[in-house]
Amino acid sequence: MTKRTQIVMDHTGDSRHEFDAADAAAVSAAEKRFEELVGAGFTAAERTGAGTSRVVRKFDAAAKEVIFVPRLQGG
Amino acid sequence: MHPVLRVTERELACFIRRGRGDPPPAVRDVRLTSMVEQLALHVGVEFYDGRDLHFVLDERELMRDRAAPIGARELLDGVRCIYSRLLEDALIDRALDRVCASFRDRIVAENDPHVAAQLSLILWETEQELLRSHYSRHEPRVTVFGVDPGEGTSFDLRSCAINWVDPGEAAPVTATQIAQWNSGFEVIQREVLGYAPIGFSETLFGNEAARTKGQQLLREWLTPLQLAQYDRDRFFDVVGGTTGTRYRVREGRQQNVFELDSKSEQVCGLCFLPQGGLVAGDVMLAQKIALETDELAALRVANRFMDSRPRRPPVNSSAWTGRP
Repeated sequence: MTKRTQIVMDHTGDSRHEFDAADAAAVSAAEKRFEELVGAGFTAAERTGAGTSRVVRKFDAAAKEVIFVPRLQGG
Repeated sequence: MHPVLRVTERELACFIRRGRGDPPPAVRDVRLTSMVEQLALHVGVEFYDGRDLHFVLDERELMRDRAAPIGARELLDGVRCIYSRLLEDALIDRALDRVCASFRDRIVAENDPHVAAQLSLILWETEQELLRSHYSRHEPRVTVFGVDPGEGTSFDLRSCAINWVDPGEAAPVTATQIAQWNSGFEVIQREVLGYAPIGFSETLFGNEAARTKGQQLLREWLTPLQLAQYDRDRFFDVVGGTTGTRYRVREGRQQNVFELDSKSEQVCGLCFLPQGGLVAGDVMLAQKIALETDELAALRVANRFMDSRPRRPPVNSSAWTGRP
């Protein structure tokens, strides 16, 4: 299994969604989740190393770990 | 333009106070039920500790000011803001109590009733002055919840609480010494403020499980250097991905990000956070990712503020060696 993880920040701390990159149906569901979250204003960031990340605008099934951060607001 | 339902902060706080515990739990959800026929807005608030609270907003106000129903999301955001403030109040009260009790414990008992009375007065005045100065800096403000996106939703949080710092071993002081000091009031105030740095925000927001997960997530995404710094200092530094500016992310949820100069001195504060009532760990991670990957976007939404926090004096400062 080629494990991929989507992490969504929420009021419980976070929710994690794991899927197999070799499973077409799982990838499709993950892509749908990606589009929905980004469409709702979340920012997606892919982990690129130990403590480093980059913003991603499009779904990439090869991304091992992607975190979704809700839209920012001024405090 | 749609009319706007106006709920003052005071009104909302009155409702929410009914569910207050010690410390008050954070709000998980807000539910609205139909009210048009009954000319009333029924609101259910669910807390993280499982309790529910129900109340009805003023029907006359609703009829006068509102043509479209207020959104549950706006109300939830508002309730969470108010509740955060109530939590701050509870933390401040608790911290002040502990600080003053700790101070009293250090005073060597003396039998002179005049000195004791004078000391009590100084302590009482100090507590009152601390509370007065805190609340005068952070006046409650009216919050307006708009139903039209063009109207916007305005939150104006005080977002300032007191973080208890254990003073540890401190030198005892006699009541006579304090009473003899002309500047006794200032000395005590400085001592109390020194143990109660202002600027810490709501790290108790959310339930314990959520806070734990938030902390774990943050630790997973920090660089080894940032993690070591965070473990040691309860803050970590990040470098802006566009400008190279250094920022310090302190533990907290609001008013916890500071721009640094070349000497690592805080230039000003930046207040921005993700929507959704996230716990402190999530908020700090979101702030780090935003500054490192899309710095300019973060700066566009951030509100700037000056860092006016008092600095903590040394525990065994000269003030406690007997010199006024």
